[in-house]
Amino acid sequence: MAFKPSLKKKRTLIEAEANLTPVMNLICVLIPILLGSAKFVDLALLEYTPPLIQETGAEVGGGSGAGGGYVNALLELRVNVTYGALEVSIFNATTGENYAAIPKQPDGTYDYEGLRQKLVDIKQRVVGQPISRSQQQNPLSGKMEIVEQYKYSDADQVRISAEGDIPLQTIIRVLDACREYRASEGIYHPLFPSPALGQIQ
Amino acid sequence: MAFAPSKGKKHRRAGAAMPQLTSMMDMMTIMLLFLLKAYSTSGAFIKPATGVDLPNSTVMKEPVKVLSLIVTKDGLYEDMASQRGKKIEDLASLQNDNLVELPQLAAFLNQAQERNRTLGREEKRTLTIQGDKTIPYRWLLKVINTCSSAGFEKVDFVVLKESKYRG
Repeated sequence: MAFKPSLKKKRTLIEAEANLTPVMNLICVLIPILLGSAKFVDLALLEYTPPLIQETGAEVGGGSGAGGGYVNALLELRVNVTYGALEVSIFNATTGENYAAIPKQPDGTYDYEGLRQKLVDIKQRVVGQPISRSQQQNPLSGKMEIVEQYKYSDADQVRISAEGDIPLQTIIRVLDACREYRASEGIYHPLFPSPALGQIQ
Repeated sequence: MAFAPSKGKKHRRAGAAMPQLTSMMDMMTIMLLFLLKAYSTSGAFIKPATGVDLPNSTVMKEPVKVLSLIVTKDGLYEDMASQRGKKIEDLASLQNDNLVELPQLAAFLNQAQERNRTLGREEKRTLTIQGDKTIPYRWLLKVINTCSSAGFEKVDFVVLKESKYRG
């Protein structure tokens, strides 16, 4: 014979709920703090060191990496941004194999990749490998840096001149193309990282 | 004749009404994770100036807060926490081809350096420019020439990073 079920066991199940109010308080404080420090637009800084002008008008170095030194030969690399093309020249050439004009592309934009290829060619074919390496203190940052000496004392410099109405975006793109290139193994190598800006008269 | 009160109502409890927080917690957790991902220590210091369409670049250097100028199609302004502050140079002087340097800007820069000296602050010789990508190059050269003459050794441009991981 079965026993009669106990009346005491008829307990009602109470649903336990976590008290989320303190967690909510914490999140409500964290969200405004994080909103204030969130970076929705990725900004960067393109550094430019204007060349120093001596009393005589001659420029001294083109920027941070200028080696100075015992070599006197000058590369005289120039990039002119005209309304129709990008002109690259070395040794002050205006024609011949030391001068190249890279015309605009059919869609009307400048051929920055073509400019970079031309500069890589100059770096590898004309400038070549460094002839010595030395450790020097950077006068601006005060840090010790390895300075490479090339056969041209201005081997890391480029003079960029542009027509007066060229927009800033074009100049930034040209500076990007002159600064570095990506080798086939995926490593970035410096090209001519010390620009000097001027205007085509 | 009044009815007898229902016996069932005697056992009802008057419990406090609690809002349903679970769905709100889900939303807040997602927001928190998104904001933690976008967190940046430098984001609070440098913000793009309002009304300025910055140029794009592949450069990766993180911006730092120094004396800053805003160059737009309307003129040259002082950067006041990424808002256009006092107008330093108007359009007429920027467009004037006879001017190689900008006199009002030179006065502003000298004043800023003098103020730093008076307050005993470290004299920084770096300046940043937030320039609209459509401004003509000759305006920019005038600003750079003026800054260089005023003793600023570095003039940096604030740009938008083109790709986070460079290809």
